[in-house]
Amino acid sequence: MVGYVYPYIELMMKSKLLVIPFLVSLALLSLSYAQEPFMQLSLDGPGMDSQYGLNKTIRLGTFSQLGFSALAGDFPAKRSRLLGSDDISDDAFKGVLYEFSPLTGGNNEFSHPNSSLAVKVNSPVNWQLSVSARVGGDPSVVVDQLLFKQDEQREYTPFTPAPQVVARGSAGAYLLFYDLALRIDPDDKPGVYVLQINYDLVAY
Amino acid sequence: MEIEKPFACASTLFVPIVLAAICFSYNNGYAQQQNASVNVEFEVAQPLGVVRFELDGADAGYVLSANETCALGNVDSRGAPISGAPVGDPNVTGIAGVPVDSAGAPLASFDDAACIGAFYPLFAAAGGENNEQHPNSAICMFLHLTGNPTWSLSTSAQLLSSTTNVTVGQLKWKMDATTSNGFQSYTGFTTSGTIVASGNSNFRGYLYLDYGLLVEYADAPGANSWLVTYTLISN
Repeated sequence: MVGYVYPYIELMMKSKLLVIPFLVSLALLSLSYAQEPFMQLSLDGPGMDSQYGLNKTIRLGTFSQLGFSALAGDFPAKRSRLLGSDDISDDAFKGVLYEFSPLTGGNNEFSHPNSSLAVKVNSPVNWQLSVSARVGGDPSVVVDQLLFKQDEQREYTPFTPAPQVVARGSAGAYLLFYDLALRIDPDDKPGVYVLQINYDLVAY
Repeated sequence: MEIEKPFACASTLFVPIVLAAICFSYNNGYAQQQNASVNVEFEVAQPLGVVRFELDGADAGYVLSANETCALGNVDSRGAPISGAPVGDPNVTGIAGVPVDSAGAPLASFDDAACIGAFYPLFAAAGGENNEQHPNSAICMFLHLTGNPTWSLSTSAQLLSSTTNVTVGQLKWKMDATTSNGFQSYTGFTTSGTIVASGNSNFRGYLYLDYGLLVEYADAPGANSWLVTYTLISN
């Protein structure tokens, strides 16, 4: 196709009268390019850089099975909640839930201090976002120990290995803010763990 | 004509250019699916291991604490039932000593030539304990360990005050479930320490220990006092 273009340009250069059709052609070319939307999905973690991307890393820090403060993570503050019983030696004690960015609201595209994760969706058609997770290595933790909720919601939902639909929308641009929580069980073995969260944006 | 020709050429060429653009945009048509991922990293810290360790003695009340008392009252070398003990829980009052030889075997009579004195089992019955009461054991211990540690519980004792001939080892212990036969199934306390229990995984529960006191003919009368120390170590 390109071979047709160059002779045409040569002709135009030889005749000043050919300037107009050349411009028309360029206009058509530009218009057709603008008509090509595509689905976009990008993420931004808790860092201060607000750089959205397809692959992000969140470092939650170090956690105790007994609810002691976490250390050295990406989040400036955490809140822990004892599960089952306030007495860690009680039979009913089921572990500790660490909540990240527990506050609601106050988030935008470039700064989301009250959500762990910002998800940017841009779609020319109806879309659906699903999420799944998996644990790497040979851990004693399981996927559902990591939980999420939309920033404005109250209850957390555990991640699952199977995809679960978390949002739907019509054509347009969207910003979704999610909070993360981590449950440490009394029987979790000490060690470093990596959970991979996968987001899939599909048209429907 | 000179003008039309180039226009004709331009018209002819215009179509392929537009088609090229359409073709180009088609190849870049919107994706039906987009994927993104987040790696979430975290560390579970090495726990302290020992979360809680407390015990309850034979004194009044079923309250676990770090320091307890077992007041054993008045005993003698011929096995007279205990008297003068404060109200305890469990109560030692009325428990009688049995004649034993030097190996701890029970004898039929205190007059047996092999008899060295009386052994008081505290307490002879096994079982019947729960997390609030231990009527059949002198000591109730609560242990809570997390993080799958390697742990050990040891005990040692020292005589704080004693009469002539009384030794540390005359105070003895056994696990509540262990059958009693004289003091053969008991372990005498030592100053250097003895392992009571150990493990290499999480543990949360109660241990019930029985005590036994050997009162020998050779012991001089008077008050005797032991300080028993339990040490729980996890790695």
